[in-house]
Amino acid sequence: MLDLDLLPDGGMSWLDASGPESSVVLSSRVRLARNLQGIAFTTRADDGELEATRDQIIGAARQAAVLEGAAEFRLDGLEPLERQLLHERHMISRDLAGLERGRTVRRGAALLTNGELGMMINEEDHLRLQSLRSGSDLTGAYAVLERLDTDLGRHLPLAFHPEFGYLTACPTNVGTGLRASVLIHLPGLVLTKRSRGPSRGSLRSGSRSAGSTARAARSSATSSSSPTRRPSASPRRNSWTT
Amino acid sequence: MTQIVDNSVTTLHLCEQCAAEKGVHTGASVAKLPLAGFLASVGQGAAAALPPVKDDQACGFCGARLQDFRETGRLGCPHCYETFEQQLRELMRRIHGSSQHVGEVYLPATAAHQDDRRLLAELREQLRRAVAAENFELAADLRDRIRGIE
Repeated sequence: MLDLDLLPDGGMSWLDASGPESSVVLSSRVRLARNLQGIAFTTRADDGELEATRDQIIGAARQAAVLEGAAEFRLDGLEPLERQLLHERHMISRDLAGLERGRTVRRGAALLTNGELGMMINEEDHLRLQSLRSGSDLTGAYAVLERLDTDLGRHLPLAFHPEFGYLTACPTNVGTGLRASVLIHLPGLVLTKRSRGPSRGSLRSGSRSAGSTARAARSSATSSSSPTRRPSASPRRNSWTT
Repeated sequence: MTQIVDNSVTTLHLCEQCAAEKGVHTGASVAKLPLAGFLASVGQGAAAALPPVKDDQACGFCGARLQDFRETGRLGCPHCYETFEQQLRELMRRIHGSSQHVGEVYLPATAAHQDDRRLLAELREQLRRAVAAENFELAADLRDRIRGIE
């Protein structure tokens, strides 16, 4: 049974408007996609491999200082409504929650989180590290995520190609595996039906918008990025050369 | 276009030229952007951008074929990137503008501790690729790492 008391603020601290520019930017999210060497990606792995992957990742994550005391949720043991609740709190994707049409929850699907920082296990990729913060704070979100990534890299054999970078199930995520997004509150533009203009304009700045809530996403390694731009989160963190 | 002025709502239906005169960017003008076209192709599935190749080759690790990738848009395992390296390299260039990853490099802890020579060889290979791609920032970073180990 789902026990959200394990999390500070029930996992809703990103919505408390305590962060910078929170009157406009509700939340900032950065995620990194990672996979393990020597194991098929989740869509091709069998149940035994998925469970072994989950156990291996959780074992490594328990040694990461930034995830100390994190709560563990095994999604394949939760009811659909409970998974829906985690999804609505922006802690897991629809895919991991098994809410996509014609799909069910994947064996070995799990969430490890302390509220602001966490990881989805056996999503499309073996690992989706994510940091979610109140307001406009992509830099802070990335900084803590980078520490977790470094810690995990010491204990897990990650799939990395010298030319392509970090390998992912979908080639659009290959490279850094990074995607950064902000959830922006733009009621005026929606009321005047002009939200599509800024959405389209964002394409030219290496961004894209998604959803009626106008969530603008930036990424260094996906279709939404401008290949020559570097994400502002960190001077070390990459992009693609032209 | 819908405008609200002094609590009065006005809806205008404009042609592309009139919209441009009013400073409104229409879908037609956006579609001319190369990036927009690219994103549209990605939206239809990155696999659709693959060059035509023979599909009978299978990944030796997971058994996935290129046809599987065309249908699902997902690869089967990390080894697929080696099996279909040539085809994927072209796809990477179309998606990301280049196939050469730059920036942070993953170095297995075991290699760093147990076999410095193997690690050095790996770093030198990455340095060679970085120089070939004229990514001098990454090359400088790799050079410093190599010197540190040496």
